Amino acid sequence: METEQIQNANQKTDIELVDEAKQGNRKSFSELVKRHQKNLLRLSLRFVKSLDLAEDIVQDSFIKAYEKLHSFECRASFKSWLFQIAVNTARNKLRETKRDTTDIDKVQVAVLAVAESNLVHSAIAAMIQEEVEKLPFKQKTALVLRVYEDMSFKEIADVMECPYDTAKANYRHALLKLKEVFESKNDFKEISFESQGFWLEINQFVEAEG
Amino acid sequence: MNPDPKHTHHKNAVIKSVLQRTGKVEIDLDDQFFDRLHDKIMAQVEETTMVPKPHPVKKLKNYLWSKPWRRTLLSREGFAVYLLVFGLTYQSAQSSIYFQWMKYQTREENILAQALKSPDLLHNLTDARPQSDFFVDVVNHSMNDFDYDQLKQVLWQSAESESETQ
Repeated sequence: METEQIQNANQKTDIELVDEAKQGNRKSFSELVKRHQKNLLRLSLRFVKSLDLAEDIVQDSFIKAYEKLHSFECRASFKSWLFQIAVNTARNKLRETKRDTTDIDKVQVAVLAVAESNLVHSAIAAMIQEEVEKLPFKQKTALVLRVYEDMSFKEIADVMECPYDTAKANYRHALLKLKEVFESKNDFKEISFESQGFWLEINQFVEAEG
Repeated sequence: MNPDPKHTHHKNAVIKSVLQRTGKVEIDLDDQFFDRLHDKIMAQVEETTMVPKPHPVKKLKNYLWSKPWRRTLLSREGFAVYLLVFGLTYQSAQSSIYFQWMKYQTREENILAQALKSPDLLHNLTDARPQSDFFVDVVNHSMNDFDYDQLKQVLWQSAESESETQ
């Protein structure tokens, strides 16, 4: 009987589960937590480097989502709404604490398996991540959602609670800033020049940007 | 800097690709971690009560106050800006009406001045417009702007041209 219920919950859409949760069905909300906790933790780790803090953000986000479930009107997807709460919670946490340490044991900024052994790739990865960290919060959010979460600008706008064009502008500004930094850094030029193969490999992954 | 948009577009895509490939966060955590996290969240959910559906009026109020620019519009400063904009718009509309009226006045006066100089024009005008309308206009303007001799001259000339046509 219980297995059947779990199977049913698995087949339901987020919106259906939200509707049931609104009527007091906690199991439906539990299914939503199961579905989205991993994504939310990954997103949180983009903003804070401490796993404990990221965990706190995930917990707080779900609790806030549960509390305000009635105000969710399905205009955006549940995921976007949840991400919106998580981004705001992360921003508040960052304001509260300046703690920003990486829990290296459990979180790894992974370059692809092939690249892991390659010091050049690691150096570039570290340099890039350093520059991403320096971006203003809104630009970083737009960049993270677009690049790492593969969200559309419409979804990004929903998460950031801003117009479509603003979301797009934030993303473009972030890219522009990174591009300027890379172009001005001689180290990066040298590294990239030496590793032509790396660039060729990247070019294979080049995709059209809307 | 290369101004070619295709080049820029390509570069953006390269940067995006670099970011994707170098910044992947792999969460090296087992299922137990997530089960524990889920249980913690659900334990807190058990103790949490859902906030009831907001009242439409309260909802509107919250919506209006939810963004800084909306707050500004509804604040005292915002009201002052409204007043200023309204005042300027009103002033500009009034000026526009006044200038139109002036333009109209000037045009009518020009016609009358020309008519005084040329009896032919006066004749044409009386032909083109109903005579009564023309004389009403003339009298109207004349009362304000013409002295007695000028008024007499206009009326006399138009009467003379009228008798000639008959």
